[in-house]
Amino acid sequence: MTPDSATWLLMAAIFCPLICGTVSLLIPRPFILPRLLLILCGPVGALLMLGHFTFHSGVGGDTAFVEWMPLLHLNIALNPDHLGLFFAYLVSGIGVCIVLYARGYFGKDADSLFRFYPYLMIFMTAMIGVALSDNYMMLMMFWEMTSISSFLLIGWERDTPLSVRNAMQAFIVTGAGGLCMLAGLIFLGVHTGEWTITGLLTAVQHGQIDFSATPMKVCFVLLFLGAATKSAQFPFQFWLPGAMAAPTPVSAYLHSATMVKAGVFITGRFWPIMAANLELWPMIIVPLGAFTMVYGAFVALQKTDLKKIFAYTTVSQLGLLMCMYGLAAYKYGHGEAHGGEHAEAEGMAHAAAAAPNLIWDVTQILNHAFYKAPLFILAGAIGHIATRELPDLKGFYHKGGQAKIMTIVLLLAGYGLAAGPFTLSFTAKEFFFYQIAHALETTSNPMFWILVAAGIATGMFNVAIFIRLCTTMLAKPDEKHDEQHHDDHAHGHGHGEHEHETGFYAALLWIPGAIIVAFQYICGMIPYAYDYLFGWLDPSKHFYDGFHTLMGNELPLVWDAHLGLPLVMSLIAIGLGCALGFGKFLRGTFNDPCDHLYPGFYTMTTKVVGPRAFGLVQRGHAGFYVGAVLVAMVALFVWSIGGKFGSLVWPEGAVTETFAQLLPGLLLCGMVCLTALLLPVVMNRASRVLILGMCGFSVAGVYYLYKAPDLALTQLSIEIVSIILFLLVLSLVPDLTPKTRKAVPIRLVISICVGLVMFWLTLSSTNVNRPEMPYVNKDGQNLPNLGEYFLRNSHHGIDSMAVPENQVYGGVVSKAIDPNEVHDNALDEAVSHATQDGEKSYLIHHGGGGNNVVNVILVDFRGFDTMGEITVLGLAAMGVWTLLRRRKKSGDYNDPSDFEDSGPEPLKAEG
Amino acid sequence: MNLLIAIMVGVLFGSSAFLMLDRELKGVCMGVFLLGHGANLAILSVSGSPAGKMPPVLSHGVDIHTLVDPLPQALILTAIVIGFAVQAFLLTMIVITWRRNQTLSLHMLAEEEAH
Repeated sequence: MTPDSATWLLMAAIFCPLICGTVSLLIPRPFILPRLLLILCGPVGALLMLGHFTFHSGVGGDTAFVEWMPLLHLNIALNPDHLGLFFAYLVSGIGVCIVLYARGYFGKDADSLFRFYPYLMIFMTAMIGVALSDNYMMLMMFWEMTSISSFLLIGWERDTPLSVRNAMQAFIVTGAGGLCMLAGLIFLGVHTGEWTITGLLTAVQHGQIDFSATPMKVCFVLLFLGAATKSAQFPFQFWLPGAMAAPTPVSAYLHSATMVKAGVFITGRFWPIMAANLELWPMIIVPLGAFTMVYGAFVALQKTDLKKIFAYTTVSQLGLLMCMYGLAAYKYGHGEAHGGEHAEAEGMAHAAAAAPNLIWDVTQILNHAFYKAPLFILAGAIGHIATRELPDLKGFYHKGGQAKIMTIVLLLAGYGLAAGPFTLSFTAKEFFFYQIAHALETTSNPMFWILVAAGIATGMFNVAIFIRLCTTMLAKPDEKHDEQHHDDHAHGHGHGEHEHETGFYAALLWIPGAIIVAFQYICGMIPYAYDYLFGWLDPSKHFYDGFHTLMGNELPLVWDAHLGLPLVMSLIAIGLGCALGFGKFLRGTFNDPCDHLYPGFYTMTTKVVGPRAFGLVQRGHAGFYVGAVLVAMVALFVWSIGGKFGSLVWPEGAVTETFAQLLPGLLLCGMVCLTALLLPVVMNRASRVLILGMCGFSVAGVYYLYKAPDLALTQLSIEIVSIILFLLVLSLVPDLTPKTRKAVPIRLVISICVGLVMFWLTLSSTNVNRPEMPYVNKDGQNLPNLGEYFLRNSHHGIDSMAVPENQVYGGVVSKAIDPNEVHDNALDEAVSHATQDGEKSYLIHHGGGGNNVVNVILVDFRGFDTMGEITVLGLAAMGVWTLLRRRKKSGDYNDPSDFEDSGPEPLKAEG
Repeated sequence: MNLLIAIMVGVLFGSSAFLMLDRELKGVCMGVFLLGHGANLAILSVSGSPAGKMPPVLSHGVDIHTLVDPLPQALILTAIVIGFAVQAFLLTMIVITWRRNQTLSLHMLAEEEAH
């Protein structure tokens, strides 16, 4: 496949869901099955296209670079490497299950499905886009798209204030993070000059990037802020539990399996670029990730709502993933003898010298999706038929039928959460513990023992959560609770209102979960299956050649685990977790203190700081705004001369004319100044209009003196029309002007300052030498100003402004003409002067063909300006007409009776 | 002539600033008109002193260096017409404001807005 077709194939894969989602809006609401089938085409189509690409081009296959907005560095560049393709497959694969699950979840609610699927498809496109983008401005665009679709989906119940509040909270947190990330990426691009991830990677490999520079550090911190808010790291984790207000398919998809991993993904993307080179990388990511990991699991244990529990375990797992990429900064096998010994002691092949401390990172992400998505799916399913409150679910298993199956699937997934043996989860957790152990070894920093404890604590809490799920749901039911279920069912949950379906569609509530959780066990027990299905997508296997000899080529089995620190950690975690789960400790309700962050922020901005700042600048008085502008103008002038008024030198050539030449100018100047100064003083409104008219006529005279006949004519005619207009308006508005006016000193001061500044600016600008134009004329001389170009070319184009002949402004025809012929041509007489001293023959570009240069500029050289001018005039005319026409319908304005006495009648009174 | 036009620009701007700070809408409107005149003259001033020069109209055998700069004139021509459109619109707004609020005092309008 050529790079071009590969690019378009991937672009089609990205936009396939969005297109299906949009087209689905054309299907009438009641047709649920066609809608479902069409929507399924989205993720399935994306999967097929990705598969086709992988099959033909291979992972990391060539894609073309398509220019889109080069000035913004926003171009279409795709990077279908292991990590990118892995994420794209994950998103579309889980997407298929979620589309099916949503059908079960919403049942026959055609309106909800109609609205829900397009939102979901926007997200799917955005997420695949994030995964595959190479140009990181493009990545940023898709990134923001995920935030927006998440906002729309969290605020699903538009009439519930809590949903709307949570949606805003999520959007503000992730949006602010997104802005930080944008700033970070711009820093990165400007600092390195590379705007693609692969470009950065190449630059790093050639050592072209200075990582010790401050911009790099700033850029990393900003980037990580974006990643941390998206991936709900402490202290931003509060938005994720709040996002559980969304329908459960959304929680299962966006807020556990895919979108929240975007932050982890971006960390993974930048890991090969920054981790090893930036000291800050492990220093920031490891402690924050580890704390989030323990904290999330700790809070999860105390929650009772199933979705809340799983939300906090998601926070915990995201912390783990972050921590994993943080630890990957410590090169494995650093200090060769030591590392080698260790590896041999572990019974492994000898370590590659500088392999990163990163083991099967994709496995960790995949593993989380494989148990958390089913957990959410089942939580939603159980909430659908009963309640999500764990204490009320006592003995749920014994309710038979659906309840039995759902409990089993939920507990199977819960076993994954607990990282029990024979699951992929167990293996993944072992890898993470390996990483901690290796970091401990390579750095020999005792602080890492804290990390060991954190790992054990997290494992312990997760096991305890699983034990509590088991003990509650499998216990014998007691009658009291049973009745409560029905109450909850009737009132507590909106979904209870839908009539329950039976058969296949009802089973869709748990089948997708069962499918996904099956992978958890298949991969946990049959490593070959894992390798065959997903292992080839693991990026760490391919980044560093010698790496995977460390762990063997295949995913190790549970019985391959060697007696060492990691296994000991796992065992301790399981032991303590059982004790905690069965024990009576930590059963209280602990409220996350970070939940107060957003309300506090919201109150601060909207109730305290906002109104004050707003009131300060937005006074609501027009005079204040005008005054601010004028004062700013004067202040800018003073600032530009540095406050040194002594440095202002009287320009030469202010008066060059003789008195006789100056006389008409003096008279007109007197008129203009007199009328302008009278206007504020005279109070009679008819006199004021006349004075205004006199001023306009005097200005027309000035135009005449300045050899601008067109201007003078235009000004005269316009002035007449405006006086009539003004008088007309005055007749419509009664005379309410107060006869006397208090002279406000501040107004006077401001206006005098403005007058002086403008006087000085005008006077000095007439004398300034204008820089030469960069263009040359026909004879190779620089044009002194643009006016000369117009003079030379308005009749016949003489110059070409050093642009290709076929692009000459104001002229299109070009042909070689002998100067002798020029004289024969009557039309060319006007330019004959300029061409007489030319060479024998040269190109004449026909210009505007007019003698009046100002007219030619307006209708030819700057024709589009004139068109804009006509548009403005037309719009103003339409506006005037719309506003002034008499309305027949009443109720358009506050008091329709006002219009009764308006209209042409009052004109006669004064006219 | 440069000095004269600078004085005119200064006076027009100063007077229009005073009018625009008026408490009444009609005064503000007049201030905007004067501002338009001032700005036009300021642009015109860059074409330099017109003494001894000819209007920018080509004719047989004319030396273009004796013609005044046509560019400011073209700009002002557009500005005059657009300025007129703005004037008409502003005046209409005055009528509308009066019809709706029965006042043209900016203070009273601002207070009405606040309630």
